[in-house]
Amino acid sequence: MALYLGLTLVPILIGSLAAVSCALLGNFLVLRRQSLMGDAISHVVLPGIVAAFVLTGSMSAIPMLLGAAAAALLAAAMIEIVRVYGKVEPGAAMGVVFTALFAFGIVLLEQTDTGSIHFDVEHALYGNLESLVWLAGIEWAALIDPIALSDIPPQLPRLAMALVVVVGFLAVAWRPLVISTFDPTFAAAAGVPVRLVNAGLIILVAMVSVTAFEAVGAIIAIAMLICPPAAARMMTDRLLPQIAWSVAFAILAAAGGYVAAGAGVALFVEGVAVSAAGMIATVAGVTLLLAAAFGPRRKGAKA
Amino acid sequence: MLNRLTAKAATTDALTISGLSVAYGDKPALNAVDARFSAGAMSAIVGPNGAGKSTLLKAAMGMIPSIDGTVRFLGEPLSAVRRRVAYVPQRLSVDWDFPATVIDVVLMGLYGRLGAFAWIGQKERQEALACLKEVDLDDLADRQIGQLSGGQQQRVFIARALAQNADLLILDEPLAGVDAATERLIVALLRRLAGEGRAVIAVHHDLSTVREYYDDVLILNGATIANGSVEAAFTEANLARAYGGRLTAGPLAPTGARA
Repeated sequence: MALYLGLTLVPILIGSLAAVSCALLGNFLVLRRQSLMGDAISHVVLPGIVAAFVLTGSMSAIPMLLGAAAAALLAAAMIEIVRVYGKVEPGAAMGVVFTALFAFGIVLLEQTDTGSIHFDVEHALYGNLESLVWLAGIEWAALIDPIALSDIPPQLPRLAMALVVVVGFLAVAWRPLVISTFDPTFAAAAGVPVRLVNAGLIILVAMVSVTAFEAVGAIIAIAMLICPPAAARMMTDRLLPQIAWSVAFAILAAAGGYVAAGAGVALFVEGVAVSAAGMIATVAGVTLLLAAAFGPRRKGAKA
Repeated sequence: MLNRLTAKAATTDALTISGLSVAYGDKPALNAVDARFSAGAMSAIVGPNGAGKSTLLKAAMGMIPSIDGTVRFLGEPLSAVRRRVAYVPQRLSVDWDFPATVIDVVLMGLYGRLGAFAWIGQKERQEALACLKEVDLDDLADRQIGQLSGGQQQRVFIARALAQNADLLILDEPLAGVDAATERLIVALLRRLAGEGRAVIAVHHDLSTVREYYDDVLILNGATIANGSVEAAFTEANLARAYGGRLTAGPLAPTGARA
């Protein structure tokens, strides 16, 4: 039982923080029909993250966010160049640029075998939640022991900060965000700062993708952006309850997925566990499937 | 407010557009459009599909970039009088599956006055309900918007514009795809607003009802064909110039719904 705190509770908490941050923002992406924006961003930021890692040799948050931002700007410029000079439609230009940048990120990653820090392709794709355990926190007493507390995986406070920023953004920008999500034309006419709100939303999605990718991987983060909000939409016709449902689904996926993966056991018994991030995304997908089949507000359900 | 408006109306138009040009890429959409719309009048904007009617409104409101031209709302640039202008987009420009209730949408009309932070309390809800009563939807205030008929959805949009309590209302096809009862209700409401001294400008499609509903008209086809009172401007000759051979049976010919 004592093993519970450091080996299970801390990774579950990290996974939940990442999932909830993603799900909160995902509600607006899904309602804006921009669900794939998260997909695109998580592809594009990879080379930026790797480049920041190569340049600074650390996985601290600030350089990674700067790298991700630089990569996003580069992607925007490249899309425009491909679109104008390649004479292809915007969708094709985006597809080419996102995939090319992601592939470049992987190649870059393969070349950076520093050995000292664990950072490889698998890590980038589906994270390494299993390793984010708190070995000093085996006993409950560690919660009040400053030395043990300093050994908490840095991802925990980092993702907690990210969640605070996301909640703060939603609280401050709530009304402009809702109005410009529902009716951007009216919003612009009524003087709602539509562009500022749009930019804020996308920047936060990028920030959350970068911070969440260490825990669940860049690619699995997409599932957290889309599945919980999409499932939540089928549970209710009101925005605030939808957001509450999406948070519940996100925590369910993170905790349920981690436990189902048997990840805690894997440290001691070889071969019984599956990827925690993969299992979390699977649970999120199953939740969506169940909501689509039985949710009270799914399409075609009687109102 | 009406005093202020009548004082202004004597000297300025509600909306003045001078030399407004817009292009999509290198394809010109509007060529030096001039138009004037009076306060206290209900004005129609008519023209064939692709004439640039919605483009004119969006460019005037600064929502799409214009190449050239000046636009004055109530005699001022839009930024100075934004709270006195209400804009009603085309009904099908939004996703009605959005998780909101009827009254949620009407309350959005209070944004100009309340801003991003002011609390929405009982007083504001009562105001929104009063606007819904005007369009005969107060019974459906807590209904999810996706459950409404097209005509009811259009009335929600009108109620949101009423909540803005504007001196100038600009509506993009407020009568598109609505039932006959809703059309009568909306027209009566808009005529009453114009009677109070406000300006109402609407993109309109059914040429057969222009004489009955409107005081003034702008006939548009990439450029201004005619602009003035319905009596003076809404003539067979002007319509033929705007619609070309597509209008075979005079102004009573029905026109196809706009995409």
